[in-house]
Amino acid sequence: MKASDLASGRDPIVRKSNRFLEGFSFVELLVAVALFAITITAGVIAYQSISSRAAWTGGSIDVTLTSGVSANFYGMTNNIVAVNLAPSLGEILRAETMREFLNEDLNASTAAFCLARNGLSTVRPSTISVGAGFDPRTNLSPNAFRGLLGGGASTFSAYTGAATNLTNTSLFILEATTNAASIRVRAVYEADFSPTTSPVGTYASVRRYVQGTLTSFYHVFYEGTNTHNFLPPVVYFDRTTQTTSGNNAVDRYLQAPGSPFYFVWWPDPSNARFWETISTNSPPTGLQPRTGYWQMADRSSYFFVIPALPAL
Amino acid sequence: MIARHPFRKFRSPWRTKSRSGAALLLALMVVFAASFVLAGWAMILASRSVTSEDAALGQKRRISYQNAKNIGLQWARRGLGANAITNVTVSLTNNWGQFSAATVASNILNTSLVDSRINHFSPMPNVFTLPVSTTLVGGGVTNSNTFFFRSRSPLYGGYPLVAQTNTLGFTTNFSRVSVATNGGGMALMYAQPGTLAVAPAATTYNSSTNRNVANALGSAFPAPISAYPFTPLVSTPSGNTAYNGLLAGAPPRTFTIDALRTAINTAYGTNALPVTDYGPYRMLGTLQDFKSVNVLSGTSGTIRHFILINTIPSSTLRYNGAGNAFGEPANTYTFILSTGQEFLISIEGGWLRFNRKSNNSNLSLSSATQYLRIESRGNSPYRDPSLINKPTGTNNVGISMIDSGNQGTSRLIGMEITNTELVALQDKSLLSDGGKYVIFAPDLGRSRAQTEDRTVEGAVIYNRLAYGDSSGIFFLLMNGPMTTTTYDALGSIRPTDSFRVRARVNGMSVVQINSGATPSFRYPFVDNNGVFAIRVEPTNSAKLRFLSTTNQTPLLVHVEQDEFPADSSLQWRKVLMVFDSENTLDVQAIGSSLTFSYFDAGDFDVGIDSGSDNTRPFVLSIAGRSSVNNTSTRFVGGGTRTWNMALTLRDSPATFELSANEALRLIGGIRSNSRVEATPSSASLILERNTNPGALELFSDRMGWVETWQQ
Repeated sequence: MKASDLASGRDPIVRKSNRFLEGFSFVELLVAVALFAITITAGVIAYQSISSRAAWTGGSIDVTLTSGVSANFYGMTNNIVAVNLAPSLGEILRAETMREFLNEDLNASTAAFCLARNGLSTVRPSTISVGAGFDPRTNLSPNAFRGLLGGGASTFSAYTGAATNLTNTSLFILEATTNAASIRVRAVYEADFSPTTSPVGTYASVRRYVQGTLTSFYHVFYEGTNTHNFLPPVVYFDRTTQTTSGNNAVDRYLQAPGSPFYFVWWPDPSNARFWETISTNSPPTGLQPRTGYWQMADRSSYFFVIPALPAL
Repeated sequence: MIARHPFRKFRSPWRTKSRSGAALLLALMVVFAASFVLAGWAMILASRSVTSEDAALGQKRRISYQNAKNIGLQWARRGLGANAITNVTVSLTNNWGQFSAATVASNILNTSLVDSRINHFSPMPNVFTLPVSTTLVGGGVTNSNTFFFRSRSPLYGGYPLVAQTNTLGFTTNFSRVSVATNGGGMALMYAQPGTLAVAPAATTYNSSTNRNVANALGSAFPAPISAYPFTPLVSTPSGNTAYNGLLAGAPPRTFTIDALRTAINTAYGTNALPVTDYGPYRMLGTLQDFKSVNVLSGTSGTIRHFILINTIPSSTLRYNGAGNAFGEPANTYTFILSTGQEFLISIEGGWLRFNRKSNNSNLSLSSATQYLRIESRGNSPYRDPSLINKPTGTNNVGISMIDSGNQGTSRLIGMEITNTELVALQDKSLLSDGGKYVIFAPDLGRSRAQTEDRTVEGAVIYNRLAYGDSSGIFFLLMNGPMTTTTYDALGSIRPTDSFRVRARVNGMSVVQINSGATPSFRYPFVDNNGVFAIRVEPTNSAKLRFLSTTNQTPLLVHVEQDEFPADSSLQWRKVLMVFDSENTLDVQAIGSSLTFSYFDAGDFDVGIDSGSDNTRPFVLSIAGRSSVNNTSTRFVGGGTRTWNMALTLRDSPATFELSANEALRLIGGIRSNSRVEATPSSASLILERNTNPGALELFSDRMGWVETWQQ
């Protein structure tokens, strides 16, 4: 016992309790409540943030592709590929890279033709031979270009206007050459949708080939039952001055005042609502086709307007 | 007694010092965890923001590049019709695109460069190209683009039919005109609503409601219509500057012939018309035998006989000496004639020697002091040795050529033809008599004694040889420089350099120019038939300048051939003719050569020799009066045949008056902004592409466009 305590007559035990055993003060309780509130708030925000972030990270999954698909796409012998589920933020970055490649290729090109198909394609030439009678001036359509591919033409199917029943596309980017007898192919972009059963879903892949060699790609897996195809993947608009056929379903696509052009859609890794049903694959009758594909905007933000003759 | 604190009753009996520290530690841990959560949240927000910003940057980079490219296209298209483009740098604000290019000094549309970089999807293949490097900056990235200034004649570029609108308000209409698809030909149409109608077969489209040409044609039109998206730029002349034009845009409304002519002038001298793609001329027709020369088959009174001995073709006529190609006579020509042979010859310069084998009576002119005399030898079998048969009932001298003009002192050849002799020849014909009548008449003034007894003026005229026949054909041949003014049958000839003139009267007049320089001519002469003709003889740099006629005088132009071509049209030399826009023109085909008749006023008629083909490619450009639409061009003729002609018509309707059921093939095509039709209704005009225009490409009116791509 300290002398001072004795002098003052205070109970040393009581004094000690005042220092160490007294209860929470009001301020302490207020601080504690505030901390609790902050903690709860932070937890809620974290939960919300993580939940929100979860929408961009669907995770990776092993998908078993139909035999021959992976070999055709990537030269792989294994049919199982590890792919991100949609939506996938990481795949968006790769998709953006592909967009840049496409943009650069178009800037350096003289012509672009987008052909459509349902199966796989091995048509990735570095040059395309042209005969003495080659003259694109009467017909710049993709169907006319298909005729230049020789045996490879059978890979693709003819379409006029919108490719409403063809799921896959091959975009040929052509460039100038010093050889009068052949056309030089700068790059070929392929976009394919492959349905899978293990797991059930659709495997989407976009690839860039240069002289037959894969240079870049992105892919994404849309899980679930396919309720509606990603159609049309491409729409071709010919010149307004082309001779009309009298068939509105064909003539309505003569909308290009200058150069013919394409609408091309690629699969969007950020959009898991890939299969949402749209009212129709073709714009309603009476609606301008150029504005009639607004419903595709809900499926993919990777939408391109590609001039058939970028150099002009 | 110490008073208790009012809250002391709430003291926890378990509270100790260590427990209080744990509570604080727990609180700190909660705060620490919350900080992590908040930091992660912030990072997610930041990453999303960065992703958006990166996407925005990419979009800006792409948009900026396109902005710069579009600026460059504007720059290129505006300058396409100019002689030169100054350097330029255009920048949009906030780095939304920058375009810069150095000065382009070349004549863009007039270039003859062919770039090795082939765009198989150009509007026209194998085009003339002027490449220009430029710099495009967008979104902080610098790119290099090459702009290609392209141009080519649309007719030769694959569009045998080019229809354009006009500024005069009348309809561009093609009736009974079609395009053959062989050779890749197609039609190229530019139209404003209601201004262009194209009619296949007998159908006529004049609907102003047609949306465009393709619809106007419909599926009934047999020719493919070009759907190419290029914007052809058509130069519009500005003063006398070639191709100093403005952007005509699409569709081009006018095209110019003046620019073409001006471009030629730029390259070859003021108002000069060059004919450069040809070779030496030898004969107009097919040589069958020296005594039987079928010069122009199927002629109708124009050129009938014209023989220029350059290479002795058979054993019946030989020559010795060092004779070389036409136009460069040897010092000595020796001709040996078989007995009884009579023919027409023309020797350019040098010495002339005749050697008669029967009696060895040589006739020679071997020095400047001698003269040539051709004499008859009485009743011998070899009488009448003259080149012109003697007049019946007179003396035996058929022709006397006497060097009397300067008393035999300085002339090389001097001849004199009397009026009597000349008159006596008038009832003789080189045609009917197998071409055996020849007259040498160097003194042109004397040769025209019937009408005007004028003598040659000037002191120095040499190496000149003229000859004519009694059918009214007269040839004038002059070699060497003429340094003084000479008045002769052609009127006023004012040559300044070496040249050659060949002319004839009483039927037509032919002028042959073979000049290294550019002589100045005035031809007021009109022959008895009212026809004036010129001959462009193949040599280097032959030109015709200030060519004009008056009093509705037809002008006939023959462009000669260096050799007898086979049937293939590719062997024919090319012809380019450009005529003044304020006059009309007559074109006539004679055999396999061409004759252009040029009238000062009135409609433009074209006579097509019946049944004859024109295998010589040529360009004919006609411009009507700018203010009226009543100047028409008529192509008159009959019989199925082929013409190798590229026809450009500006503000000048044209009618092909053909035979019934005739289908005239026109290899080359038509570019017009007015009406073109074939008559009668059963006739048709089929346009085909000329895939081998040769040098005509350089002189044909062009269209231009721009291509660019990133390097």
